[in-house]
Amino acid sequence: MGFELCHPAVNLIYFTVVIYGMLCFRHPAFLIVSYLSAAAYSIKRNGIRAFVFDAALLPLTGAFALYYSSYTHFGVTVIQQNFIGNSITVESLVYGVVLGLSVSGAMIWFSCIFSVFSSDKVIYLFGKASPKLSLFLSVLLRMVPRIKKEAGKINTAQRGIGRGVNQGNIFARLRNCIRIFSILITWTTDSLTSVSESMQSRGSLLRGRKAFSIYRFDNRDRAYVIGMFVCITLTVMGVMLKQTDIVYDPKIIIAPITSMSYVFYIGYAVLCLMPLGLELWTEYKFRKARKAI
Amino acid sequence: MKKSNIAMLLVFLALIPLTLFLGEKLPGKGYYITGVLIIAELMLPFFMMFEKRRPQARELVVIAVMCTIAIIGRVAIPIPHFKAAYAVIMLTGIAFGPETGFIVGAITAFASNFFYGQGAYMPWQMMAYGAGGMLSGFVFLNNKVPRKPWIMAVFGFLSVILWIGPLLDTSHIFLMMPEINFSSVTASLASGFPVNVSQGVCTALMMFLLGKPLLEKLDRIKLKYGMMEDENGV
Repeated sequence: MGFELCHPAVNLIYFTVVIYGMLCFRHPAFLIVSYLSAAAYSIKRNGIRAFVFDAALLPLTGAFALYYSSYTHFGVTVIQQNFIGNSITVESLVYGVVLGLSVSGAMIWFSCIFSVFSSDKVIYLFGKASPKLSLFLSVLLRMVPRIKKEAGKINTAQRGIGRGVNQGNIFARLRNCIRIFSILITWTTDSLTSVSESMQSRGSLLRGRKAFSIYRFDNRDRAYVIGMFVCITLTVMGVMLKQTDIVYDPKIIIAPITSMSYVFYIGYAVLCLMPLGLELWTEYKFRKARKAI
Repeated sequence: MKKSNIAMLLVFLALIPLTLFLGEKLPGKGYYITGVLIIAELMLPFFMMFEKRRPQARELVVIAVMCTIAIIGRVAIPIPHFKAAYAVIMLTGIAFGPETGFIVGAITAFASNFFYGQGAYMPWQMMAYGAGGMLSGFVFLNNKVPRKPWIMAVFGFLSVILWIGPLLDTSHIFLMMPEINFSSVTASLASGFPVNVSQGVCTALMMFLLGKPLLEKLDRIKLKYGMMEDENGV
């Protein structure tokens, strides 16, 4: 419910903007805002699994910062010298944390993308560019689960004659695995060929053919796009007024924070929290409508 | 020899070296452009193979499957310089002819490098891998050389040591060496020799093991659908 019901083009624009911001802004305020909203949205969408994933990224970020600061030595504030005489500095440590946060934040946003973008949205968006490409994509994307299912079927049949992947000693198992793989290759080439043959026989590559889709651009999408672009404009204004500027080398220098900066921070926060807000709001409306019955 | 075979040789001997030579001058990530150009040039002999008709979706699908198997053969074996990709490329060349072998080799090098990291050597790798597929296609053309597993194994070993390996080492000579003279060339080739031997042993092993089953499969679909042939079924 919520953001995944928006038009695919809106989803695409939104995620492009957010990930670009996540990877480009080195200012801690913008970084933390985007990171926290990504984590909140992923937990809202995927529950406990997303929480474990997000939590596991934090120690990795710390480890990366340690690794980064022990191999790059810029900055003036020395914490201590390591055993070969290079100095570990606050600046490189902080910059390592910033880099780690921005990459892990992008990974969290990507996990949100995977849950929002279904394969038919991908096919729809590519189909706008080229119907042929979207046809091949749909064949290929469908092929992966089909191959998995077929591998299970072959294994079951082979187990019936004592040649399953978990029968016999280790050499026999290896041979069985190779045999099943070989059968799978035969099946894949044959099945892909027959799929493409039948697609062609049904005129799938004829001129003027359009892909069917259930998406249309309605007023809710327009409202979302307008809100999104207001926030983007605010953020871009912040960039132009040098609110996102920060220097880590040789000393950490942040642009002065004025009362105007908070406006830009809030604009960016609203941008990052938009899908979560939409989700919560639709759920609230849904519950209210249900109570009225 | 068919027209497409001659076109293949011409592309390999003239167009691709020219592209590599000009591609070296491109700055930054220009090697992507060179790589894409090489694939585009390879399309010419490939399309000529079908004479009057156009290649069908099923033929492209089989090429994609062979590329995938070759990439798996390179990525899935965790031992460095002991990869099955050459063997799969050569077997494709044997089954479907030199043009297809070259295309599968070039695409495999291009795509599998996304797992290993791209660099300026990528177009050279595409050329060398493809040349391996092309050579096997020419050697086993029209079933003049019998397709026995041990013959293919010996062929695989020799072609990696004497053909693909040296071709790959030339990339080192042209990209890294400050000056090119006889001693630097021989030194570079000699330093690549142990790697080539290890690759050659792997290729021979894979040709011996995979040769018969894989060729059987490819010949079967070739016969069943009349793939990679012109209108007269040649």
